[in-house]
Amino acid sequence: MNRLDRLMAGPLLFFSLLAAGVIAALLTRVSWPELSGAFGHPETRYALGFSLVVSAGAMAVAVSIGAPSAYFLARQGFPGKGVLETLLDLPLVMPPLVAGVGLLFLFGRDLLGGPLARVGIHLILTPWGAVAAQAFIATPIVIRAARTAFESVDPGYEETARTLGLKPLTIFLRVNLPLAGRGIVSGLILAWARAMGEFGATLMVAGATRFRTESLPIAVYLNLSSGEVGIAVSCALVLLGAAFVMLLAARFVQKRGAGADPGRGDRSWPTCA
Amino acid sequence: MADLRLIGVSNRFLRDVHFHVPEGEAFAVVGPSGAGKTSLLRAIAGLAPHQGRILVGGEEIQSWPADRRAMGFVSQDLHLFPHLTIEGNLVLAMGRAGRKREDRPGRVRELMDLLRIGHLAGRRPGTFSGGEKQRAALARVLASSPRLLLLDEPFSKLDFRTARYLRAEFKALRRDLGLTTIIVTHDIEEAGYLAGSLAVMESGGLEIGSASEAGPAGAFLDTPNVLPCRITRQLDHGLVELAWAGGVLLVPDEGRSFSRVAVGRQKVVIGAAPPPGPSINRFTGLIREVEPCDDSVRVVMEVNGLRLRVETSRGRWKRAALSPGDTARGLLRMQDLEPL
Repeated sequence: MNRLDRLMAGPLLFFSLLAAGVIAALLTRVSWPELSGAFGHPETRYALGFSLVVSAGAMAVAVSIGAPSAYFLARQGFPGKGVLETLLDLPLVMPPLVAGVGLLFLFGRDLLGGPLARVGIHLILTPWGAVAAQAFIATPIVIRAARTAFESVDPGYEETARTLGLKPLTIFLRVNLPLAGRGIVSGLILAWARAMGEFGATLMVAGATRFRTESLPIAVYLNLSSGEVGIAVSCALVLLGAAFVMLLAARFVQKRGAGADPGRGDRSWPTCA
Repeated sequence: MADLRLIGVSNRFLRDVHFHVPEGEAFAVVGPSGAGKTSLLRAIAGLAPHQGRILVGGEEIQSWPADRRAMGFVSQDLHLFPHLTIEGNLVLAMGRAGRKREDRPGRVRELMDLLRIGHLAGRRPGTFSGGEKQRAALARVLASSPRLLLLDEPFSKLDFRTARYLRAEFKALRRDLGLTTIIVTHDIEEAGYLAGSLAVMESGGLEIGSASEAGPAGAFLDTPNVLPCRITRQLDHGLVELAWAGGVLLVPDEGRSFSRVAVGRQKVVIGAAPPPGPSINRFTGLIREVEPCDDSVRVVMEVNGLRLRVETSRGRWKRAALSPGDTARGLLRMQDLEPL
């Protein structure tokens, strides 16, 4: 390591200590007996279960919408595509609270809330609202990751599959999806971690009701507000632990994927002689 | 299998292509890079839009999508599905064949045995050698029960020995199965070996006939020199020593006798000084004729009374600084010599 490298390591060390310090600061706020009691508290357990179920539901919605959208965007060019892609990226940079207010108005009684209620779907202040809010935040991440993954697959595989007589749906399911799989899974993990930690939009759409719409971030918020620091910190630590594991998994998937590149050649699309 | 007829097929890269390949025959298309050879195969396979008519077994297929055309297209890059085992590749390709699900494993085994890749069944193609990949791609395309085989430079990425071995295997397989085949290659020797008839392609147009009949379009072709020779002795390491007009040649041992070797015009290395490297397969001759072309120079050398045709780039010829009447040194690389 030369002098410049050592110089560069300084800021890295500073920020690593800052990140570790944030976690340590959370831990020092409560005693170990208090923390272990809080981990077993019914509210913590409910919030963890609720977060897992709701974020899984949100991911199902995000994949159902995101994967086909990404496939279409990766293959088709059309006027206004750039504008559409920017619109799809907007939820990534939109403050979650603003996204939540928008969803609240959209699914409120004046707009879609009425028609949805008539078919038995109630989103505002219900767990389904939490699913909708988290899906809204996670879907653009899935689209972005999956579009890149589909674009990185050599189109020659699809052409070969077509000449072998495979139908478009079979080609999507048996060729393109598996070849883009690692990139998509890596994006899904990131989106899931983001959905688990979602607070602002969930608060606006589903509200913050104990044992009803209480996800881990909502539990942190509610318990800090009422002075139950032990439960708040234990929920925060569970959330951080889950995020750490997911991010680690995403890194693992990406690393494995790097060694199994589906191999886009240097041929353009469409190809020519 | 069926016959194939193209009538006035044109697109961005092809102009008014006509030809007919009878059922069970092999037809080769030769030409330089960028001539439109791959575009022709892509048009037949339904991968590139085109005008004109394509008839397979008398049936017009030009409006059909690729998945309905049932063409067995083996691209230069092969595109074996890397996430599937070879067995998986073959089973997936059987979707079109309309074969019952329970019959598929038997057919897969049969094809893998035919192409001698049975031992690779459960492996993914990433770790295969070039020859194994080529066999696997052929097995897969046969699994799809194609009406025609379309092969794009099938042996160009293989080493000399593997390519020669596989060419012979493929020729026998094609004959046994009666596969109507279109082969695209830049190697006229390969074309002549694999196909009963050939056409020369240049700038998207096609001229039917042999290389020597191809006229101006055939001028670029690496029409080989055929050198009479005599085997003088067997050497170790799978080599034989030959005597030819230019002296001594070493070539790989074919395990058979032969009295001629072929070498492409563009494969002959010449210069004013001896070429670098080991001093085998060297010769000396006189420059007799020099004819500059667009981006190359055609030269006729006389080697002890034998006329040797050479084609080299303008830059290399300029560096050699040779003129008619000069003595030139030459090299015939072992891997470029084809015993006939």
